[in-house]
Amino acid sequence: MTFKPLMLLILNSTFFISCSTVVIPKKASRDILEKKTRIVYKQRAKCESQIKYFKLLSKLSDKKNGFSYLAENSTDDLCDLYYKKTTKFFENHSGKVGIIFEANSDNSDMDRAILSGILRSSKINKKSKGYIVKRVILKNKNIQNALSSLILKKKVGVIITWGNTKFLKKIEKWQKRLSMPTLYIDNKIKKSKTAFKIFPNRNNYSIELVKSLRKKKIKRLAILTPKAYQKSKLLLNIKKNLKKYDIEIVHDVIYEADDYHTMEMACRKIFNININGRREEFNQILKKEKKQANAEGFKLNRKHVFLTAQTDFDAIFIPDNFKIVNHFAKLFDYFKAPRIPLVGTYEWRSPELTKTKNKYLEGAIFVDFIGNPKDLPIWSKTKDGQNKKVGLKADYKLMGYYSGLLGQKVLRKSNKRKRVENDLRSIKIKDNFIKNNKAFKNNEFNWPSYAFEVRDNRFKPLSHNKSQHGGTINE
Amino acid sequence: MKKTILTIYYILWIPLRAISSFMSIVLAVGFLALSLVYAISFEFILDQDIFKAKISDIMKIQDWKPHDNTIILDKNGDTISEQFNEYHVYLPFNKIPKKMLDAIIAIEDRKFWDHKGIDVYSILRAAKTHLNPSHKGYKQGASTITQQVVKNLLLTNEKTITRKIREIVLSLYIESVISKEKILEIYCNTMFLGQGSYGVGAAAKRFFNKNLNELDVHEVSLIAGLFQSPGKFNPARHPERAKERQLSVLASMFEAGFIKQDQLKMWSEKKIEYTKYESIHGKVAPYFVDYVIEESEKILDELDIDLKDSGLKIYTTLDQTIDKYSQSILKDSTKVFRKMEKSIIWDNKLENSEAQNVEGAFLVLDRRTGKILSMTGGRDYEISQFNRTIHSLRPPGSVFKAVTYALGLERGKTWNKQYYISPITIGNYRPRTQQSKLFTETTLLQAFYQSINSPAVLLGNELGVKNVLKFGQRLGIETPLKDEAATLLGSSEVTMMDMARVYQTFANDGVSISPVAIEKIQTRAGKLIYQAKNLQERSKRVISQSTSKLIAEGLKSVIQYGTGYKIRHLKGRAAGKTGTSNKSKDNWFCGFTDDLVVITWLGNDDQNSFRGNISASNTAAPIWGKLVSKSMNYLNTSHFKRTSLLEFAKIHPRYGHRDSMGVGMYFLRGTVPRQEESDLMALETGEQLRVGMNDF
Repeated sequence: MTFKPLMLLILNSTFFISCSTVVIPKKASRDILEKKTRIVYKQRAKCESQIKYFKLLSKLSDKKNGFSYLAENSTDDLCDLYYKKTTKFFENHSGKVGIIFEANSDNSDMDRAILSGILRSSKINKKSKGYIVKRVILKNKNIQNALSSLILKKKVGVIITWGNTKFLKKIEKWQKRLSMPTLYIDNKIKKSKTAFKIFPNRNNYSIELVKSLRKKKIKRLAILTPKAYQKSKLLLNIKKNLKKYDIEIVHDVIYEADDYHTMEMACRKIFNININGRREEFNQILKKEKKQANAEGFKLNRKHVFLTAQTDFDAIFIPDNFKIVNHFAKLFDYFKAPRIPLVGTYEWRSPELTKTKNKYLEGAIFVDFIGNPKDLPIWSKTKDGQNKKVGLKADYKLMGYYSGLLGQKVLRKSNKRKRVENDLRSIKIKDNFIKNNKAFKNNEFNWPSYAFEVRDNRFKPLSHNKSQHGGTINE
Repeated sequence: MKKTILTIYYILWIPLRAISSFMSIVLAVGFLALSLVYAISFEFILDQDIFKAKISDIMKIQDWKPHDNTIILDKNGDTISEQFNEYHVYLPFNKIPKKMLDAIIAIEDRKFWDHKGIDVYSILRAAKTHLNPSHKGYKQGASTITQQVVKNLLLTNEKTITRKIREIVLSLYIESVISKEKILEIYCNTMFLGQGSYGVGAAAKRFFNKNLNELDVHEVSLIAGLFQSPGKFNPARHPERAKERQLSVLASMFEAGFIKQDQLKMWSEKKIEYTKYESIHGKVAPYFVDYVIEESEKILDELDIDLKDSGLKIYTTLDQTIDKYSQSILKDSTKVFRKMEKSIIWDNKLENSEAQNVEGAFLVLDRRTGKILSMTGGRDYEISQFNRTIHSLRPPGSVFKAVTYALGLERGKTWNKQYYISPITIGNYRPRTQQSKLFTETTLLQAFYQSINSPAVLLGNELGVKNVLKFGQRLGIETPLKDEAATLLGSSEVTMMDMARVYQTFANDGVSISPVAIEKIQTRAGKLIYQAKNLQERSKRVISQSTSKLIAEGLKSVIQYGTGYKIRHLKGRAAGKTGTSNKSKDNWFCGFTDDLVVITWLGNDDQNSFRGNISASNTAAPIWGKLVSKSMNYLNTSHFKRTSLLEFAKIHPRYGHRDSMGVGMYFLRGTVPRQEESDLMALETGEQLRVGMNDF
C-alpha cells in the first residue's frame, strides 16, 4: 500500500508543535496555562476543520502504512493520535526536490525551458540529491496521488511547480493545508507563508524603469498603451511608481495593435494634430502651401497639408513589442514629429527592432529583466551579449535554473522540514546575475532589471548601481 | 545663231518630215504658209511662247518618270497598305495587254502607229463633224494620242490657238525623239480615268478590282472609252452612258480590224460586272501602317523622296496574325470594357470626343530582335485613329516600379530585403498605401509582386530619385520624366513605346534593343534606299545580365504570387507587372514571354477615373493574358530557360528568412540567406517570445 493524499495533511508542522505543547506544560503559571489553552483550542479547531479533509480523503489512505485510523469516525482524539503516530515520520525530509507540473501540450516550450534550467542547476550543484518529477493531468485524484508520492513516500523537502492558473490553484490549496514550502514559477499566486515566487520582479522592474527616466531627466511622459495590456499588473505598477516619483503622465492613450486607424489617432492625440482645435493655425499653413503650390505650378492636395506636431512631454513610453514600436516610429516620421526619446519594455529586445534603422529609435531606452546574457548562468559567454536574441527559453530557463538551485541549496542547509521555510527567506545567491543579494524579498524572487539604450542600432546598457536591486530611489 | 537654226528646225524640217502623203504636203504647205504669216506677224510672241520657252517642257516628257503607289509589306512580304496621292498602278508598255492598246488606239487615235504626232485628216474630220450638228454617230477626237500626252503633261486646258499650235509643234517634236511605245505607255499610265484612278492599271483596279491583264475585251473597251471623258462615262455614276461608250469602242475596234464581227457581237452582249473597289487602307494593321508612314516620312524627308506616288516598297516587321489577335481581343473583350464603362467617373468629359469611353491599346515586340510585330493603337480605327501606343502620354503607375527595383538590385539589394509598410512622407509628398496593407513587414519581392507603394518609395528614396530617373532613361524611357518622388510610383507620363523599351531590356538579359518597324525601303526596281540597322547595331548593354535575370524573376513572381493573379495559368511562361495610376485612370500590364514583349493599356482618353475595384489586375492583366495565350499557341512559345547565374531558395515573403513554406526567390550565387527564423515570424504565429506582459 502506498501513501495516499489523505496523509499529506499530517504534514502541518505547526500543528505538530502545538499538539505536543498541549501535553508537556504542567508547571506553568495560570496566565501561561490560559494562553496555552487558547492556543490548544485554536489549534484544536484547526485540526477539526482538517478532519473534514481526512474523512473526505480517507478512501485514498493506505491502510498498510498505519494510517487507517484516519478513516474512523471518532474525531475527539484523532488529532492527538494522528500526530503521535506520524511526528517522527515527517520530521525530516530526504533532501530531494519535488517537481510537479501540468501535462499540457500548450506549455511544452515552457516546460522544456524550465526543466532544462533545473537540469543546468543540478549540473552545477554537485551535491544535489536529485529531483522527483511528476507530470500530471488536471484532475484532483492525479494531483493528490502525485503529491502523496512526493511528500509521503519520497519525503521531498520543497516542491517546484508551474502551469496554468487552474492547476496552480489546486497545488496552492495543498501547499496551504500542509504548509509545504513551494517554489512557484509564476507571478499570479497570492502571497502566503510557504509560497515563494520565482519570477521576474515586478517592482524591481518598475523601479529600474523610473530610475532610467530620472537619469535621462524625463519628467513628463506620454504613454501609448495597447488595449490588450491596459490591465497589466506590470503596467499598473509602473504607472504607480511613475506617480510616486513625480514623473507626470501627460497623455495615456489606448490603441489597438492590429488597427492602423487607432494607432494613427493615438499619434494625432499626443502630438495635438487636431484641425478643429487649431483651426486658425491650419488655415494659415494651408494658405502658405497653396501659395507655394501655385508658384510651383501644381495642384495642392489638401490631404497632404498637416499641422506641425506639438509636444508637451519629454518622452513617449510604448509598452508594446518591437514590431509595434517600429510602426510607431514610422508614424512619427510621417507626422514629422520632433525627435523625442522613446521608452520601452523588455518586449522591445529583438534584433528586429534596430533593423529598420529608424532615427526615432536612436537614443531610445528600455528595461529588461535580463541583462547581459554573458552574465547569465544558463548561457555560455557570447561576443555580442547585449544584442543576442532573448526569448521565452531564456526567461523560463532562468526561472527553472534558480528554482532548482534554491531548492537544492535550501535543503542542504538542514534536513529538518520545519527550517525550510525560514531558510528560503534568508538564503543568498552569489553570482553575476543576482550579485550577492537575498534570493527572496517578501517571498518574491529578488530578480534584478537592467536598462538599455539604443545607440548606433545596437543595444547598450545604461549603467546603474546594481548592487541593490529594486528598493527605493534616492531623491 | 543657234536659236535661228532651232527655229528653222521647228518650223520647216519637223513638219515636213512628218507629212507623208501628197495631200498632207499640200495641207502642210498651206499650214506652213499660214504659220509663216503668223510667225512673221507675231514673231516676238512666237519666239517667246512656243519655240523658246517650251524646250524644257519637251525635256520633261523625255525624262518622264512613271508615278506609282508606294506599298507597305508585312514581314512575309504581303501588302498591308498602298500609299498614293493619285491612284496609279504603273504598267510598263510590255505589260499592257494588246487588247487594251487596240481598244485605245481604235477609239482615240486609229492612225497612231502611222502618223508623226498629228493627224491632219482627223483634225479636218473632227472640224467637219463639229460643224455638222446633224451628225449623230460616235465622234473621234481630233487630237492624236501624242497630242493628248503633250496636253496632259505640258499644257493647260485653255482653248486658244496659241495653245493648240504649241500642242501640235510639241507633238511633232516628241514623235521625233520618243518612241511610239513610250508615248503610248505614258498615255496609258497618266490619263485620269475616273474614280480617282490614273492610268489603265489603276482603272482596272478601281472598276473591276482586277489586274489589267485579267480583263477581257468587253472590260478593256469600257476603260478605253473613259479616256475621252471619265466623268461623263463613269460606269459607277452613269452606267448607261458607259455602256453606250463601250459599244462605241467595240465598234471602233471592229472598224479598225482589231476584232471580228462575231467578236463584236459577243463582247457587246457580254454583261459587264463591276466590282466595287475596296481600299486596303485602314483594314490591315491601320495603326501600325500609320506609324510606318510617320517613320518612313522621316527617313525619306532626309533623302528628299516623296513617300506617296514614288512606287516604293516598304518592308516592315508586322506579323499580321498577332496583329489580328490584338485587334480582335480589343474588340471582343466586351466584358472588361463594359465593366469599366459602368465604373467611369465623368470628371473631364470632353465634347465631341471621338474615342470610345474606354480605350485600349496593344504593342507587341519580338523579344529577341525588338521588331514591332503588332501595334494596335485603339479599339476601333474607324472610330479613333489616335495611336495610343506612341502618341498617348499616360502615367505608367506601378509598371514604373520595375525601374526602381532594378536599380536597387543593381546596387546590391536582395529580394529578401525587409521593409516595414507604413505611411511615409518625403518632403511634402505622402503617397497613399492601402490601409489594410499598413503596418506589416514585407520583403522587397513581396512588395514588388503585390505592388505595395511605400517600400518602392523608400527604396527609390534610398537610391536617390534622380538616379532612378537616369536609370529609367538608360533602360529606354525617352519621354522626359518629372524630377519628383511621385515619379517613383509612376506619376510621370510616358508612352507605351517607352515602357516597351524598358521591358524589352529586362527580357533580353539587360541588353537594350531599339524597336524597329521598317526593315528596308526599296524602289519598285529593287534599288535599296534604306536599310534598318542590324540587331547588333541596335543593341546596347545597359544593365548587368544578373540584375536583368533578377528583375525578370521578380516579374515572373507577379504572375505567380501577386497582382497578376488573373493570369496565373501563365506562370513560368510569362513575366510582367501591373500598373494602376491614381484613381485607376490608367491600367497597364507590361510583360514578356520567351518570344514576345507585350505592353497593354486601358483607360479613358480624357483622363477620367474609375470607381470600385477597377485596377490593372482585373482589366489590363486578363486582356494581356488573352493575347499572350493566343500568341504562345501560334508561336509555340517555350518556358523560360533557367540560368546558372542565380540560386533559388524558398523564403518567407514577409520576413525574408528561409522558409520551406515560403515563396521562391532568386539570389546571386552565394547570397542566399542562411537565417532560418525571425522574431517577427514568431510573433505572427503566436509563439511566445518573452514572458507575457499580462503574466508579469
